[in-house]
Amino acid sequence: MDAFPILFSLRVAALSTLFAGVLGIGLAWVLTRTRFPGRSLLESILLLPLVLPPTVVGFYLLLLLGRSGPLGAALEAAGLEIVFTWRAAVIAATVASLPLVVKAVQAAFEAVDPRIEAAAHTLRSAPWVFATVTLPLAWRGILAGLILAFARGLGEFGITLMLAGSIPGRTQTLALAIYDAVQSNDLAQANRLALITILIVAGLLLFLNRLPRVRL
Amino acid sequence: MLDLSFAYRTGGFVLAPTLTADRGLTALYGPSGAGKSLTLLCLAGLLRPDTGWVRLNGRTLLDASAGIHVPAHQRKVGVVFQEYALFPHLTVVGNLSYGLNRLPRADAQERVQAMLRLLRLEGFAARYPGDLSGGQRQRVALGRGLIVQPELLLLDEPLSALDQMERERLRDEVMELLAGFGGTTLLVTHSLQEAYIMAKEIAVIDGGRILQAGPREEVLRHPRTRRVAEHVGASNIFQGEVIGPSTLSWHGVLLQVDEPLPPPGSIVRFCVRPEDVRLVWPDRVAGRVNVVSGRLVREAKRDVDYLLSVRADGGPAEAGDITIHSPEHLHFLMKLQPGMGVWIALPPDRLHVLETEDAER
Repeated sequence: MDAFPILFSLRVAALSTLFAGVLGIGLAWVLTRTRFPGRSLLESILLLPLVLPPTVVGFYLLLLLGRSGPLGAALEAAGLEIVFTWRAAVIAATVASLPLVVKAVQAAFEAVDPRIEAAAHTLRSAPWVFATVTLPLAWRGILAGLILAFARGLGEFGITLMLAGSIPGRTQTLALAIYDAVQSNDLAQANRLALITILIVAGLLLFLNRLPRVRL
Repeated sequence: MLDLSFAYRTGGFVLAPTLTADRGLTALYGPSGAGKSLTLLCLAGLLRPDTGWVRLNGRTLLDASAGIHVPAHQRKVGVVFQEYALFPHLTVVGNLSYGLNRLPRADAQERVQAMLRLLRLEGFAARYPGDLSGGQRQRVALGRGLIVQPELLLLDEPLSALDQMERERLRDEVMELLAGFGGTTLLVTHSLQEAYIMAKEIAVIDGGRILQAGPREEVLRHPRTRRVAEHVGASNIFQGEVIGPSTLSWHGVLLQVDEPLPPPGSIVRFCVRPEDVRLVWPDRVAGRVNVVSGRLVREAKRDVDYLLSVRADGGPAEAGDITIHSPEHLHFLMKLQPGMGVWIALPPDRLHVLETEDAER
């Protein structure tokens, strides 16, 4: 059995979780701790990939990042090829999982007692308070968001297909390989890949549910 | 010395306190919604007032017109929050040392050890707040505020998280720990009793303004206005007419007043504290001043005394009933019962004339 889709998907999911995690934590902080005009607009835009058909998101990403797209042309001039490469798969998974991270981390930040943060602010500067009080107190929600992001990245289909294609051995993820196998009537292969996907995701969820709660 | 005068607007509420507080403990006393906690957050640097200034021992913490707003952690202001707000993910030592990050490690450790001894928490250094009793949590919270050696310590209702049983014991503990603190302490409380017992100075706040501030006896005995009188428990507030240099007519009852009075003909409000009104035995009425005969209209047993309402004979209903705190044994000896006639004395040195409030002018 060709192991490429499994390893490729794990790598894409890991990278997209990293990017969505860093971006999502930052955006969640901005959304929960600051007030500025256009805040709710930003929040709505961030949630769009959750409600739009993946093909729609993928289509516009393709226009944006394609060779003749405004961003894609600039990146290609800089030597970075995006579309139909592994990078496109990572971007697709990142865009798909970002809303999940933002939502989960937002809820986690909102659950932190503002008085505890206030107490910390009287003792240390703001970046320290974030690193030593806010993050540790929200870690469970953050981890939940990251695990959801990983699972979402692993299962990403529509945006990936639009942006990265389904090139066997280059950009074919688990989800795409399953579709491919079904298309070519190789149900045994589809079944194997599907079971592996289930094992990975179920294992993650089990891990998430067994995490200890923070002592309060 | 803390010196402040600022304004902070939030929603429809305007907080505009003006206050000077010396070393020692000053209580910021007022009902909920008066602006006590907001004042504290502004002083801590957690909220930024729109206008005004705050100075602490000559240092400017806030000067809105000059754009100065010292960040909270650089103010040398310690804060003990309501329900303590300890860091639940850090041990007792972690909580205490949180603000000592700029100190060399050895110095910080030394300070933490000294604080643990002072708080009598040596055996609890590695515990988490969740595993501590209410009293221990309070000590950690106090220690966390004091260990950074602040010049101003802010206490936000430090006893409100406790039940009645613990409250008195822990109040004494707070006082004990604060005895060694040389700076200014501002205690936010909605309990007059707490304010009176713990603080030497009381500042009465309501509607976002400091109504009166001064030594506790002064504030309690000589409230400036009717509003202050109501807040500090001088609940007998009546209206009378000045008819002589030291005589008031209260609906026909003549009362001698020691305090200087405005010119005759003036209508004034005056007050007397319920615990200052005396019940007089009928055979000892002769020769006493300001004795009023009346009828006991209501009585209510409190924990250690009785709350009596007496309606003066002859006076119109709008004169108002006089409230008296009367000790239990006297109540028993006099065989007091609702409806019976009583004599009460309003001591001339305890009658206090109130200023007219701005709103009444």
